[in-house]
Amino acid sequence: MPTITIDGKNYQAEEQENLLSVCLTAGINLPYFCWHPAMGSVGACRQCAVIEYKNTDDKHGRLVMSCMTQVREGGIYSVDATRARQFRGGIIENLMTNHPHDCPVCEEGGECHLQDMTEMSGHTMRRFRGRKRTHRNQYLGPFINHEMNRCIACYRCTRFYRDYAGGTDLQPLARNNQVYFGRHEDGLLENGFSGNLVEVCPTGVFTDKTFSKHFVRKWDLQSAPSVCEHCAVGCNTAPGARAPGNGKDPILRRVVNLYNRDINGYFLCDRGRFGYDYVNSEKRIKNVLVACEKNIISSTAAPGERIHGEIHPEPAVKHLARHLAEVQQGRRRLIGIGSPRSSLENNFALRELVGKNNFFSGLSARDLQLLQLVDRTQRDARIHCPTTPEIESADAILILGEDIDNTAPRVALAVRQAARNRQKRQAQQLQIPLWQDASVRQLRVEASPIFFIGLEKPRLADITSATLLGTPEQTALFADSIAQLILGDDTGARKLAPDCRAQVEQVANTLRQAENPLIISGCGSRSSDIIHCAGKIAATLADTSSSPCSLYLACPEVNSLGLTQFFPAGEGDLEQLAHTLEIHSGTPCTLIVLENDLYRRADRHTVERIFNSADAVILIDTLLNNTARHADLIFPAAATAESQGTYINSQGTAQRFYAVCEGASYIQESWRWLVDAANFCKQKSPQLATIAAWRHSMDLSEALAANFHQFEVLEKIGPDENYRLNGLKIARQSHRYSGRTALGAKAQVAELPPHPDPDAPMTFSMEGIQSPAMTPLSAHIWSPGWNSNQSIIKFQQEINGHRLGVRGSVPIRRQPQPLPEWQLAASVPAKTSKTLTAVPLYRLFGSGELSVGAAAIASVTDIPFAQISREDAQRLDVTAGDIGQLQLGGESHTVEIRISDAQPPGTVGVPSGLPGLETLAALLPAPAQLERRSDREPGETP
Amino acid sequence: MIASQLRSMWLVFRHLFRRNATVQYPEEKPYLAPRYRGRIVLTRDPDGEERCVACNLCAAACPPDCIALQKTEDEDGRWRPAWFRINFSRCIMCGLCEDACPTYAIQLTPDFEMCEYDRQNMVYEKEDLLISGPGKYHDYSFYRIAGKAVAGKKKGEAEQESKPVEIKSLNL
Amino acid sequence: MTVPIWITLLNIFGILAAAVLLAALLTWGERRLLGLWQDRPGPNRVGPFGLLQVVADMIKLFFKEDFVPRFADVPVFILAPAVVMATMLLSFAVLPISPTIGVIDLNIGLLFILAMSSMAVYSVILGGYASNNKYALLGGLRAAAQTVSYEVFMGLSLMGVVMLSGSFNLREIVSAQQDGWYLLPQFIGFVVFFIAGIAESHRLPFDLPEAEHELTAGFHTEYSGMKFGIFFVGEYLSVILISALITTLFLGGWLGPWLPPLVWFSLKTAFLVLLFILLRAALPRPRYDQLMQFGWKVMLPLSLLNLLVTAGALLWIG
Repeated sequence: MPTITIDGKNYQAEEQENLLSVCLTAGINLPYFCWHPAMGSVGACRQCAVIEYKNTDDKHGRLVMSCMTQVREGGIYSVDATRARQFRGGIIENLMTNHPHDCPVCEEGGECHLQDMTEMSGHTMRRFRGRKRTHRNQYLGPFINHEMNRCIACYRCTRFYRDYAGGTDLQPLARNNQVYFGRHEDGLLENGFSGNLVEVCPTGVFTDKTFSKHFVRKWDLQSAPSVCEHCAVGCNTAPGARAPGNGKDPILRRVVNLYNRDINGYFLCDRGRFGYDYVNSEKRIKNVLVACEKNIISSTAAPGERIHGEIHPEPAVKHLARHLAEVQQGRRRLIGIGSPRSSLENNFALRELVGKNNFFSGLSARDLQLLQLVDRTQRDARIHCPTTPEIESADAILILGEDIDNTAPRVALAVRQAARNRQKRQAQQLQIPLWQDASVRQLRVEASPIFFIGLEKPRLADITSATLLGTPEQTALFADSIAQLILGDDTGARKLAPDCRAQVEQVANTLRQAENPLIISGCGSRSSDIIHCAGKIAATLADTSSSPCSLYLACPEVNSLGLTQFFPAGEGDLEQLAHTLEIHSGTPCTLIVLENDLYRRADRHTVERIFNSADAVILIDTLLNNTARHADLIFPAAATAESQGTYINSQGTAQRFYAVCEGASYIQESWRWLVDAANFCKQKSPQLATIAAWRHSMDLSEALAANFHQFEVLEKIGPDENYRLNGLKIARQSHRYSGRTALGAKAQVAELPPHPDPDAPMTFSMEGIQSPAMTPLSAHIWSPGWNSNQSIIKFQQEINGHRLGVRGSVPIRRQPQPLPEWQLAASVPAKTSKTLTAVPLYRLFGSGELSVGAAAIASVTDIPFAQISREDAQRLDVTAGDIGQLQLGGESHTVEIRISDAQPPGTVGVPSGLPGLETLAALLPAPAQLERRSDREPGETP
Repeated sequence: MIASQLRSMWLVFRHLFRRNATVQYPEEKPYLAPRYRGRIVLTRDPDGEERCVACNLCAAACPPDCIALQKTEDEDGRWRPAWFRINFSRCIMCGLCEDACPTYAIQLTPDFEMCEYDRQNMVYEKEDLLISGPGKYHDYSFYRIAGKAVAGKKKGEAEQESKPVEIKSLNL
Repeated sequence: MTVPIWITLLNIFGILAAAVLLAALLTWGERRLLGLWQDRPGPNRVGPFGLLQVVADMIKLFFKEDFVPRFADVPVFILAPAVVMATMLLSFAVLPISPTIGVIDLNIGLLFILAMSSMAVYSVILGGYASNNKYALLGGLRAAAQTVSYEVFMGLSLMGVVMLSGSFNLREIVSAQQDGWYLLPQFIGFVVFFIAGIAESHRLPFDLPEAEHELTAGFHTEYSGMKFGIFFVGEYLSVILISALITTLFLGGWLGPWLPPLVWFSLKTAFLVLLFILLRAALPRPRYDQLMQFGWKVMLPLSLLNLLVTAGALLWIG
């Protein structure tokens, strides 16, 4: 470790590190723009200039850019030297000559890196008398606002968008002083990580348009660590909330990234960043709803669907309590249906209430089996679940049948970084430090091997070495032959077509030679064969290298893996529930559905069987959905940002999220409704008494830890509600939080105390610990002089290291079990002339159940479509853009027909979960029929 | 020591023959300077448009946190407060909001006579705060200077701005 | 010499009414004077020159809730203000206001007044104790210590006057000043008594039992309404009493040329009251230890010295 001297003080630096990182790690405030901890240095902005001295005799020194200067043993530098300060002041003054004087109307104001750096450099007065260069803005879609005049040409946006995230439609245009960062024409930024531009841009060129719709300054947002609920990756987020001042504004205002080295690092995908708005959606359930018996003139409800009216919670909870009482007297059955998008705590509370034999997963048998297979595979000692940095360092990656661009986008971004590993290795051989971003990227080296075998051409295709497209069956076949090839057995491979065979052999060879191979698969294809194969390949690789092989299995929903832990193999699916309900049809039965839309989970027939056998359906959920139409009683459930709980992500990591704000109206956590009902029961069985005694979210976490050995870690992933730091709780609001005495003054001028938080050691106020340096429970990333999110570097153990006070991710503790014995069954799907196999396609905007509730995401969500191959199109005599009728599982949907060369013949790609086609999600893959609709009227769209 | 006590008694006694420093309010009203810090108003720019751009700086500067507002963006591209509230029952008339205001929108006036029997009436909304004139600063208009395009002022039309760059031309 | 009963009654009720009324009026007078000395008008809204301020205050105090804290010792709490009023008013009985005005002519008039003023401290102690409040109790304790300390030389300082006149009868003391006020021969006695008088009546600068900046309101912290009003009036009564006493003992009582005796008495008393108020307006409050030190280490030796010199001078003259 070199020892260097900065302004007369000695510091220990990492080998080969650049001076800027060293200064920032040491806590020295040195302004910079173009450097980014995840993207390295390019030396473009000249803002981080310091003086370097030759030796102790050298009193003059020379100006160097610290981000481009590699520290050397005994190096003497000065950040504070007058010449360096003057130089930096001059640079910022130049950068500011064209700045448009619009901070008050800029969304970035108050968390602007440019503001911070200007302040830090001491530039306060505009001396330049010339005219300002101006630009016209572009429309970049509903997520990102563009205000080019604010640009300082640091190139961070295109470096992130193009180099890091692989986007192509944002580029630097024009030249020198007139350089323009934009698209070739107005339009939505295509890349799924465009939202990160908001955080990457050091000034207000790219700002969050959805946030701007209900804008408040950063210091006015209350925040707490949360977990993104839109996929199973489990990215950490810091949602910002502020109470409405007029009773109308939304409460949750935005989501920003919350650094977690092992999962999301500095970046979020657009679904996670902009999907938060479902919380404020019109479809949000805010009050207790009860099915009305009133005759009304007309309604859009179909037969069998209920019409609901608002009701005060007390009679509703008492109603549920009456059912509980009847259950205790043996006069009624109680069935609970859990949810993979609800927290462990909520699922556990329902399970305890109804009893474990009456608790069902709310998943179809196929989905639950897939998840159980994922769980089982991850239990094998030879399998290692990689963290994001580990994915980024894999030297050979095989993606099997999982559209990670759309089902686990953050993982796809990590995979994209892994493509550069050969380049990085080459750089290391040439003694180029990796932070020399431009130099490293210029190296002409073959990309690291990344193979994709799956259904739809991935967005990652630009970096993959080989892309094999095929149906899930074909994918499994390929994968199986790869596994055999790794073992040296080519019987499977010999059956393949020659070109496929060559590719399969290449994959097998590369994986076998790789030091650090990574297999990625998941539930996306809905094929257990593929997961089996992925496990087999990983296990085989582990056997040959005698160290665990990385295998990332993407789960469909945020807590899928957590829910799975409640059920032994072969139990708890919806089909089974329908069956049991029909057997015991004698006793009346109450069905409690927890945050679940059953129509997305199982076929309509099964769901209707379930609803018909239950004489009371009680739903606890956040958004109105198809299931709500059949519920007799609907309780409003808290969204992730409004509640506390634990999610288990695809890696098996347990993560606790904390309430950022309290839900509006009568919204509360699902488990609290159940506890309330238990409390209203006069006579309580011991079980019910335990439930009725739960007061804090941590009570449930502790009970979970006591009841399930997997969940023992739940007590360790965060402190309980009695935790205090220096005798204080942790404040959710910043020290600059404004309007405390005015925000609620219209309703009532008297100031009420802030609501206490029973669940977390946090306050819904400014009182308490506000420093993120003292505890990772503080999500308000701010440091004096560093108002922007760049201040995260102040709270890392080292640049790109863990956050202060964080040791690493905490996996749930599962009993190791070897992979099950399994052989790929050779089966060829029967083809008829008109029958196609419908296979699921995933879309970043559309496939997420909750995120489509966000207005901005809904506006870019695709219309219902079905994608077929050119061959099938000719056979069916349809052309692209035709309106077709899709027959699937007894349902008929109007879709737009699209033709793709990549679509395997004989299949029809149906977007999973897309609004309008939600009910098909559970059925895929399945045989389907597609035909052109003849009665199309001009101008009609589906 | 005794002398000093006696002297102070004498000095105090002499005040019997001094003029009063106070005036008989409310019959007599004292002179209040135009920059006296009294009741807060929201002003309009010379064109009659609201000056407040809802930047939230006044709220951040306010020591008793008695200002709250919500930004909204209108069709014309201007930022405005959807609602703007000052809880005068908390206001200490310190004038920091006026200092913080980048657009001269919020100004303090020489009016302090705002007693109410009901504290709720001390909560002033935007309708109560907004006046029709420019207040103490007659000529300032934020949007004439700021680079943000609004209705009637396109890019490049603000003060000190050159015409927008045509990025698809050679720009020689 | 017997006087008709109606004259006695007139004396009794006249002095009673005058004392109470004057004390009440003094609440206005003091505020007005303080106002003038602080370059402001003072209370001038109610009635001519604000004279009816007293009435307004009284109405206010009467209509305030007569609040007794639930933790107080109720009988004592109620008794305390009554004690101060009673003792002060009783003291006025022996004061000779003019040759013809005065309630009773006691031989031990001076001792009676000293006894009564010592009694008055009970009200403060009891009030402080009964309030069951730490500020009140501290105020009461201070009052006890202060009164005990200052009482000693208060009495001693008067012995010079007694020696000169050879009587404890106040009328005789006044008559003995026919040839010259005792102010000059007993100047030290006058000063000492004046200071002790301030301390006895808990007036600024010696109002430590109710020192606002450290004890909230001292012994009457818990008092409100008319009970507080009685304490208030009691304090002004004692101001008038001490002034009247100084007039009698040192300034020749009603004696004076041209003007009727009552006017002379009133003028002298009024001047002293003015001095009391001026003291309040001008002087800061000492620390408590300074007060005690001043009493024991300066005032007591001074009064003893005064006694010694007076006695010596009398012996010398024979």
